Amino acid sequence: MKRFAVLLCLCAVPSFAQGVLLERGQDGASPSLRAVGERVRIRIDDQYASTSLEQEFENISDQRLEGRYLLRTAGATVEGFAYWNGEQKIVGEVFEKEAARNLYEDVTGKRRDPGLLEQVGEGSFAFRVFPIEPHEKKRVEIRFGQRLARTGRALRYRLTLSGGESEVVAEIADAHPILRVDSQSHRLELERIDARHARVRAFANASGPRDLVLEVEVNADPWQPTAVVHRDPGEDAYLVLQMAAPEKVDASEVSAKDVTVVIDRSGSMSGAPLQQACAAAELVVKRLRRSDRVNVIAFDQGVDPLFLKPQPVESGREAALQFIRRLRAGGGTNIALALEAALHAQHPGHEPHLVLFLTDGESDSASALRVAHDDQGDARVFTLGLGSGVEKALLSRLAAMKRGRFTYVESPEVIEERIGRLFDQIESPALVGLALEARGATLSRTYPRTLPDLSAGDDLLVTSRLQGAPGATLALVVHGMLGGRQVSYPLLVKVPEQASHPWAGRLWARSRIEDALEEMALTSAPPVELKNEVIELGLAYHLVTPYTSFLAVPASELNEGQETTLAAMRAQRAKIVAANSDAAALSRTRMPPGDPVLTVKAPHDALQVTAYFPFGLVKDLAWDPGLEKWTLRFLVPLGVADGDYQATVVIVRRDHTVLLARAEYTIDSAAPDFEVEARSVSGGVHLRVVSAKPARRVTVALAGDPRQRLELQGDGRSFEGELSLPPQRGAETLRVVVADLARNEASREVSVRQAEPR
Amino acid sequence: MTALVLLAALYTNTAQVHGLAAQGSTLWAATDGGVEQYDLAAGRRLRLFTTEDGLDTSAVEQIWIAAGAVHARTASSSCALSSGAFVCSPAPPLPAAVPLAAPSFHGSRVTARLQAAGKSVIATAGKGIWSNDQELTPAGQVCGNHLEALAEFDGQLWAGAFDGGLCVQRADGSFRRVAAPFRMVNDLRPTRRGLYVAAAEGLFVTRDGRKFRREGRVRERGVNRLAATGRWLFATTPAVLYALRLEGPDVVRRFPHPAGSTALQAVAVSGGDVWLASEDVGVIRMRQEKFVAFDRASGLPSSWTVDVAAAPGGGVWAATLRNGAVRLGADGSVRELGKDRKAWGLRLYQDGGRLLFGTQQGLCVLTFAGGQTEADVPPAAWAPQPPDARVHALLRTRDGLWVGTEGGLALLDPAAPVSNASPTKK
Repeated sequence: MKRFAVLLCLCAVPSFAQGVLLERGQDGASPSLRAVGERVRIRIDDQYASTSLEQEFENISDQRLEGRYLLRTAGATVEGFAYWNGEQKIVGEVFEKEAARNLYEDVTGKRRDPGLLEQVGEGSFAFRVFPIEPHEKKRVEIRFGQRLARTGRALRYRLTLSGGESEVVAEIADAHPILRVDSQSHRLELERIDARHARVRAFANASGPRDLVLEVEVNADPWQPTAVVHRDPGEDAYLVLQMAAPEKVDASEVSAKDVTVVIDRSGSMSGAPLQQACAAAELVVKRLRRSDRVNVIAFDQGVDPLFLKPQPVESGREAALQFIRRLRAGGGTNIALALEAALHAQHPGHEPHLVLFLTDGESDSASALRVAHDDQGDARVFTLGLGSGVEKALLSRLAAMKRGRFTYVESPEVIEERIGRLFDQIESPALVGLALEARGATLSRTYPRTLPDLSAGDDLLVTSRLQGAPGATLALVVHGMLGGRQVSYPLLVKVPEQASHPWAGRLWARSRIEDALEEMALTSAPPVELKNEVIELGLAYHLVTPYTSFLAVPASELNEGQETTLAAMRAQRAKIVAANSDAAALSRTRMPPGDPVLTVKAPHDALQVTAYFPFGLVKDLAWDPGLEKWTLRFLVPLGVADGDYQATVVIVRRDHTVLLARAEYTIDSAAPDFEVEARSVSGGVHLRVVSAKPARRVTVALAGDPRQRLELQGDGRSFEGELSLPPQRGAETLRVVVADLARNEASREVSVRQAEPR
Repeated sequence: MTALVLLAALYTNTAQVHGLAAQGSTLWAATDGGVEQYDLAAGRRLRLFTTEDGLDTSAVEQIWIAAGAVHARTASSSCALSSGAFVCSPAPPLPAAVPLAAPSFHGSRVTARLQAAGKSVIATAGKGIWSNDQELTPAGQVCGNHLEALAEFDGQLWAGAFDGGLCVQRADGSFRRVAAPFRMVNDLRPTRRGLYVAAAEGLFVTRDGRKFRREGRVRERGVNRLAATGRWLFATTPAVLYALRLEGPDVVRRFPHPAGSTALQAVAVSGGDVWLASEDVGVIRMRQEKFVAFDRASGLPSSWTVDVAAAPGGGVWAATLRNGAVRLGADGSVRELGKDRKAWGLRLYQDGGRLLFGTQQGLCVLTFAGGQTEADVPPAAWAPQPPDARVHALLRTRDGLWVGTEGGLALLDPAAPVSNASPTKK
């Protein structure tokens, strides 16, 4: 029996999306751009809403305009994009962001600009539309996906429409019987296909609101989890597990709790932030129940606790309120110290220990994370980050590690409201100490990583990769404590033979991407592997991320060179997508003889993975549970001639079928050949170096004083730069070093004479 | 003491088997650790033939019987057993193996099978030889033939293998493989906090030699090399230098991309400076947390360096990938070049008053006379060679000089008289 402690995602943010076409330089609606109409197709499948939004706008002015299409969402991810030039639909393709932008810049400025859709902020995506000729109509299509939180039995979907004529069709499918589909905003025509499927058409009420709001009520038992398993042929499956707490929890199921409010009183909190934070803290203290206990800790670079440990509300409430009212701002911010103090100042026992941590500052991430990591207690930490300077990634990770959640507060004015909403959810902790157990299959890369408690109205999402044979039955059990007693919620799911819910893969990929981005934000020099993984996932799952974007280019706008570039980008994407499934990859592909590492992502049922190298080596790969890949370290021996080679990888599966993968590499031990042009200029020398093969670095240094040096800039073949020379020294010898992609080097010494001053 | 003498012992691993041959109840096996001779009837190994017995390398690819004589094939030689030793002559390279799906046995690929003396014998890639489901391959072998790191910890010799994990030598000379969450070992460093293991899977530490804890202060997986002072442990990953405090609170300093490098290799401490070897920007010096690189543009023969070791009088010796060794002064200037500038460098090791330079072509001894100026250091001298030319790890203990190669673990320069029965012949 395996038990997996995983983290739930509590998605209480109301679902929301809006697409608008703005005139360049304007933030609000433009009088020159009129919304003509839109066609909306929505599919809500077990809480995952896929929306296709096709909108048409018209330039009603007599001027040629430049527009900017902006899609603002709460937590959605763009999965597709297209626009029309007249009747021609130009469909976007996902590419690595930098490559897409380079091609976009190259093509821009001809008759019709291409479309480049990028992520421009959290949940915001934009692309430029140019030109929009006078009275021209522009049509765009965006496809995006978002998970809808369930509150009790109810799902809510919300989309702001453009204001023109609209045609809205929604299809709804759910694991539970659908009780009701309703809308306060629109008139609905409901067609019930069966108990679990429905189709609706929505019609705007005259002068009604532009927001389309759909409410779906399903006949779900409280706490009963549901699971969706999707599997692509030959791949590990995806698991999406969801669970909703009832809207109201019986008083007998609510545990008495300890609440420790930690308030940042550093100098940056002075004024409104501290006042608002204190007001919010007072609100929390006032709302505690008689059976609860309370403590308050203030911190700057030091820590000032009210009590050594939380005290009964009856005796401690007034002291806590007085303590909060006396707080004054000043000093620095030491999150690690404050967190450590709060975690240590807890009573033993099984009652929920809640820590509300309010800060606006930055701090040493590593120390704070270590405190959270090392703490063996079961306190839940709910972090609230105030203002733009706060380290969101740190607070988010701390909350996740300590089974709480992170709330971002963008301005002091909304602190009370946000903390009030948060407290609404956590003041009645019901299901605590959650753990997910899987029998009959292995779960891996499960997100979020640890489980928080569930309170009234909360909603849970767990995504995971699942290794299990097609057709196998998997038993999932969510364990926890409800009202002080152990409870279990079992669920049986079958690993499907065929693909069924493709969005499950995208939802898992989004979770993995968010985890990787958070990891990167916590690191001053993030490992390049994380960025590469985000790119790979974005390309493989067709997602816009900070490192991937959608590029839509009319073929008619491309010249021959740009067509070649686009073809190369597509080939590169295909390679990455292939590598993301079952292909083999080497840690270095161009090298002198050395010791690269071969990694192979074989199917889940691989029994044996063996690499055959052209120089005679035959070696078996070993499963690396950390990487979740098969790996092999090998040596390319001295004496292997330069050239392109291919290693063949034989994968034997449990059913004795065999797959082949290939890893290509180049042995290159030849020094690069290059030419140098040196031209004296005032105060130094201008250098141009042309390398016969692609170079990664060209360095020039004074032979007599190599600290005087310059790295030339170039495109891989041709490099240029200007090196300053010490005045009045006459002739100088420069050492020019060229390093190629395999890090082979060649150097040459060049004599130069300084130009006479003008 | 200017030269290394006498091979005292050679330890190889024979779990990777490439071929079998039988003569009556005598079984012959070609393995990565030499040719094995078994008595099938008794179910035990009679002898192991290695480079000490005439083979040009311990990695033997094929074995067969012809005209009553035992023949073996290595990558570059054809060898025949005669009067208790192999005689080898050059042979053309073997053709590359044809990829095929092989059956597996106890989780390992089956490489050969035969019937002899009424027994069914199976050879595997990684789990040795089995006869009627009984393992024939002797236990207690060193954990790999390619040893990357050696250390003395808790009075015992520890060996880290290229891809075979970690093992420790018992009092009887045999080895115990240690169950650990890594298998690709790059370096070992004993400290007062325990034995640190730099591995491709991360940085790990053990106090008791049995339980390993991932050192959470180092975030990256691939950890290359280690160096320690009394208070600090330095660790390199390809892009980051870490300084971990060994005393008191868990302080960590993280230095990403020192001097712009993304390919750090080794680290050493010399005087008050920390020195790094890198593949891309040469040798890097950290002084008061400021980094300066010394590369080919600075006068080094190459910007690709693989190891650094403190030099007497300050500065470091640096091993380059394929241009020999070079000595840098504390100011980073090049003071002298090693004798053989075509040597492919692997490892540097301070051995008393001299420096040992492990290369792909053998072991080189750089001798220093006490008190002499750096310019007077005598030229490098090649040492008597270990059984395999590719020297990756060096360690002096009271037993002698341990040399980790790609062809096994050798004990050279023994402190005590050498018995005629080396472990290879047991």
